[in-house]
Amino acid sequence: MDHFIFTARSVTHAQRMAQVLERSGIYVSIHRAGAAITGNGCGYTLQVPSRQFKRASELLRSSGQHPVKAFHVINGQRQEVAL
Amino acid sequence: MIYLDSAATTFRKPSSVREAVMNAMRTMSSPGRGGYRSARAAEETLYSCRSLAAEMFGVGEPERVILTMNATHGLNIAIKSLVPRGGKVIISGYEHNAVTRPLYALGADVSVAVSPLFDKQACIDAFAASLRKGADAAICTVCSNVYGYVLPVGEIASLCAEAGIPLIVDASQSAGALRLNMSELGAAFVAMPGHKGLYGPQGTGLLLCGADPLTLIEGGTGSESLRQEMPMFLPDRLEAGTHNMPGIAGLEAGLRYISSVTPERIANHARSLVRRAAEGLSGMKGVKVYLSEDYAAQLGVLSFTVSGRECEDISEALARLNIAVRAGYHCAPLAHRSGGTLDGGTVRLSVSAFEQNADIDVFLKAMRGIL
Repeated sequence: MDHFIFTARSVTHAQRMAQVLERSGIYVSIHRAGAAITGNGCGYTLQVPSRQFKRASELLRSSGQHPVKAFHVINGQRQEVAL
Repeated sequence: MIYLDSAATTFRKPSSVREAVMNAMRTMSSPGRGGYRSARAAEETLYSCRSLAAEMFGVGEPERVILTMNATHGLNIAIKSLVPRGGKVIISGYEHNAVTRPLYALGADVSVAVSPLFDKQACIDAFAASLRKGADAAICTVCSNVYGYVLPVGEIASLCAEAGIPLIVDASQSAGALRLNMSELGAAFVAMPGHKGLYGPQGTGLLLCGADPLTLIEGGTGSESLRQEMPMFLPDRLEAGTHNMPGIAGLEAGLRYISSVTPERIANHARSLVRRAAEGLSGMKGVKVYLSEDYAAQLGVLSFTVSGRECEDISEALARLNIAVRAGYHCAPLAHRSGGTLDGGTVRLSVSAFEQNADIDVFLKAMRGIL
């Protein structure tokens, strides 16, 4: 199984992004993230199903709620992807 | 108890507020500090409170709603973000010490836009004249905590916008009773307490940020932990340390209560009670009430004095009868100077959505006995 994650600056940023996506029918889960993902210490991520990644990226971009980074997670391995 | 001191704190709260506080004590830990259930419950309530406030006060982005300890906390952030040491500031003649003391501490060059009580046009003219001289910021309360006088903040905001001077609005006495739209007002900051007209618990407040703020305190935010600089983004930049989750949960319930009852109904109820009190007091010998002829120009606050009697004596006599009012200067000597009551202050009664005609009638009966 694979999925994508968006990283957020803060829990509020993660909640804002989740709200944008959920209003368009994309249901995501919010998780804590460590420095290995954020680069700056504590942060948050949104987990998005693979099939909805492209649409979710477009929705966040058009709403002005830009994620900090995005990763493709395959079998537990993360690979950063361009936004 | 007959409680007539809601301008200080609304003592009677909706039952939903009490329940929300208790629920937070049972189910919430710290937001932004973990992925476990109690942290997530806190995060959801905090975000809900922020979002409700953003919608209620026309703030486009919920992250620009900052949870503070009280209005004084928010005003300190706003003032210290805009006013440099020795900077020039224009304020109304009805500001609270929550405004004037931070300005004094900054050594600010304060120009007071002096105008008579309940004279909106004079207030606008005074601000217009002062703004022409330029300033780092202007500060205006929406409603005087001493007299309930509703100042023409919309017109003052327009004047500030024309002059290019950022405006700080103190909505301490109006939030929850008068609608305010941050985007339409174009204010740099709006500060308000959670524990008055928003019916939240003590120790809560909101700061709406239209401008970029400076930090007042620094500390942990649960974000960017490896950096020693405070995050540049809101709300984390201004919310260092653990949140008051029982308070915020109660405030969230208070915002829901106001949305359901509507500010217009609350304001009309409060105005009606103040008129009833004023009419009753006016017939008493030696009593002078400070009532606007314009119904809309005054909210749920009424000041009065009694010739030959100390305000504190009246207040003490009422307290002995289990009637709560406030006497003296109400932390706003500037307002008393403007309103002509600096010599001794006033007795102030103030109401919320929960006081009734019967409360006013008991107060009036007590006053007849005291006099």
